[in-house]
Amino acid sequence: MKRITGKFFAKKFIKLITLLIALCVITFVLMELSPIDPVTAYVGASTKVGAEQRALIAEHWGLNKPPVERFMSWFTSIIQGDWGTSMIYRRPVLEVIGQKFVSSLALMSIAWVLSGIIGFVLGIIAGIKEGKFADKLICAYCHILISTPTFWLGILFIMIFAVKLGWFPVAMSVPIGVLAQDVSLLDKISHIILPALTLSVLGIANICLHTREKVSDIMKTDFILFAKARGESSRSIVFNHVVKNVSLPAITLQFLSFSELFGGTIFVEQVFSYPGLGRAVVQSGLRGDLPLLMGIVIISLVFVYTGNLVADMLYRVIDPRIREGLNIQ
Amino acid sequence: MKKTRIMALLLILALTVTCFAGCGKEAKETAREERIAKGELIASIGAEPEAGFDATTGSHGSITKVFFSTLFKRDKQLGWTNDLATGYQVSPDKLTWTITIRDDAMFTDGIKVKAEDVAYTYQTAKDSGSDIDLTMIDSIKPVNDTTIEFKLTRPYSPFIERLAYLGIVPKHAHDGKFKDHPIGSGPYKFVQWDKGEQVIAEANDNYYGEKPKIKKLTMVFLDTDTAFEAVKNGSVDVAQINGNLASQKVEGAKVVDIPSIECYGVCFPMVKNEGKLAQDGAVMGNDVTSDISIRKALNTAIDREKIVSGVLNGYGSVSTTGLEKMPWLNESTVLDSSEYGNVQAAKKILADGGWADADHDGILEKNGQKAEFKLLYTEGIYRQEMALEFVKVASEIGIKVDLKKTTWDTILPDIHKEAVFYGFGSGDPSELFNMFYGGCAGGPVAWDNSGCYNNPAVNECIDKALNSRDEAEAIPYWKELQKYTSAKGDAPYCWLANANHVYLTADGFSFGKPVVQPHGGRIFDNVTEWSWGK
Repeated sequence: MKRITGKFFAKKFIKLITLLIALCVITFVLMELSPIDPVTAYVGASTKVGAEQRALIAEHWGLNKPPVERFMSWFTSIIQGDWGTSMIYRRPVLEVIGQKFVSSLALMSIAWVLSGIIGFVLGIIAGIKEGKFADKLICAYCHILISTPTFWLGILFIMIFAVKLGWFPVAMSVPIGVLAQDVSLLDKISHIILPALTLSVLGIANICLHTREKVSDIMKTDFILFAKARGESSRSIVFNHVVKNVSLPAITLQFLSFSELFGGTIFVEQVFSYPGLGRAVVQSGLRGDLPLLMGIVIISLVFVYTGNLVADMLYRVIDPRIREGLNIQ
Repeated sequence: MKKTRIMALLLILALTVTCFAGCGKEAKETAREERIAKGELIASIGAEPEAGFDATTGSHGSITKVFFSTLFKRDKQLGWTNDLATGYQVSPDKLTWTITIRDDAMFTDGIKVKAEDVAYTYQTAKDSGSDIDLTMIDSIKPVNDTTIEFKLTRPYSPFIERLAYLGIVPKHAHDGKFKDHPIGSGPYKFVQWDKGEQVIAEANDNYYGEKPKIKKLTMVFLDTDTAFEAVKNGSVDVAQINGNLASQKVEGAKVVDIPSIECYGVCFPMVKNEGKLAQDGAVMGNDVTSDISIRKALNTAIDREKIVSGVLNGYGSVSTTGLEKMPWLNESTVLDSSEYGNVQAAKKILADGGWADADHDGILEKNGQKAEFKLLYTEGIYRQEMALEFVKVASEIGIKVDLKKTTWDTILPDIHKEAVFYGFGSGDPSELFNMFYGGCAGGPVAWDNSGCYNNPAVNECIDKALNSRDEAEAIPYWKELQKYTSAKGDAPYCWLANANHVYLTADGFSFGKPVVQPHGGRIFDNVTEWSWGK
């Protein structure tokens, strides 16, 4: 058992490393192929910067060297733990990511938990009541959500909850104009609710629809029929048979949704001016800030990969058949 | 049983939330009044300087003026006036600029601003490899505590622009932490920066200039739509918005629009396509737009007033020169309202130029060449709408214009062979060099004179202007060249409109008398005049 786990982790780790290297190379190649010129992106629309200064900028940031040489120098320094300096922020990449990741993480974890729980519960209700009014209502709700653009939903939430009802602050993670030492935890909580809610709403639909599908399949199986015939109450059917059978795919889906979560934060952070990693991704891509982009790519890969790894591990905990190393269909 | 439990839970939740919120709302309504009473302001204007507040490693545009003083600044008539400087002198060979500075200016840490701080600021900026072009400076030397000498590599009359560009940083406190905790000699003192969100500043009591009326200034960096909502609910007092949002009425707030030189226009390729290549390999020239009657006809046909009222919602002004309100505008080149928006006159120009619709397909031809070209535009407010209007009017006079959306990166292969939609207006006369100098055509910076205009008379004027002693001496030359570069001359551009900068401000707030805003804005230049009017 122990040996199997060790082997499992070693395998996963090697996979992660190869994936990381491949991803770095691909990102770099894609950036090279993109028409974005980092010097122009850096200068922006200014007509005050002439050709001579542009050459100086390229030299300062090492942009005038051939691509292979640039990649190798970036690669050797990152192996030594130096992530480079962001062009946009003019500070070390790790410092930028560190600052931004913490606030994104809080946002994402709240949204993740919320969407998982709400989506799962709604999915089970819809699946059991398949075809009934509750099911139709939940499905309609999910379909509307799935086709809703995040930024639009964000603005809508601001208009309703922040402006009309005045329940929550409009944007940002701290109160406006208040000194850091005067900001309370309650302030921070009230600032995170609306963006987290916006973000979670989008995950709900996905989890809910998949769970519903699975539940309705299970409800049609022989063992449910048998349970019904035995006279089990619908409550006990749900808790004893449905939840157990549905939880495995739901967990997988929930952990796989890490990547979508990451994508969603980009929009949410934009709308709510929330100082997270999402906005940094967009900027670093658009403005050709290679060190920062590569840094974020690495961090997000590790993040998403961890999500998948946890899902794999939970399988083993939840399903004894996988733990025993059995081949199951 | 189960249902009642859920109901109870929901009720508790609803109660807590509304309680939270209840207090919140009450507080919000009085929050602004409280700010007014204390002379505080929350503004959402412009973008955050992500790299920090270090003037030596990047320009921050207008926001520099909050914490820092610059040597010179534009006055309300767009001439020059002193800020930290008390004057300048240019040597007879035009290569040495000697600047004197005032001796009563203090950094917010209580230490006096000296010439060596100025020299240090410029030297560091020059060496920083950032978007501040100081390549014309040869050396910088502090002569004494209040005098600095700049030696230039060549005569450069717009040099004073660069002297109005950098916020002066203290040499003694300029370390690694400076960008997060700036120390300047401007009207405000830095208090706090929450990265990605807000900067808090308080009035600098030791400021040498007019004391700011707003005692505490909080600058937040919000999305335009979000900022608009934030003004509505009272958590922000001033927000930069756009003409499209301005039509919505907001209780307790009003729309303020400030005239700008943010000018939009279409640049035409000026040479025939003979397969000549620019330095980066892009083909130069267009056989249709290189015909002057096409360019003149479009300039005559486009109804600018319609663009101002339709696209800009009235928040703007007509432009036929791209230089309205600039001291170096040549008034004689301005088209008056009878000289544009005239489709019949435009048709006549085309007919006189030899363009006719022989095959009756609605598109003119000349020598077998159809009157059609592409108009490339990029992402940005108003741009698509204006370009669409341009296309529509062009079709009325028999010119087919295909609109194509692009980015400033992907535009490069086509930039010299199709018409390009630009936004200009830096409020600096040397921009005319970037736009019209023949030597720039097809050079290393693709959008400098992207239409490949090359008129020896214009080149000569630009050379003379740049070689002048200073801006005052250069202005006659800048004016002179517009005889050729205007719609009345060679018409290398079709200028459309200036878009005002639109703000939503809480009732009672006043910007004072802001200067005409260039592309990118200059709103913080008169930050000391901002007030809750009383």
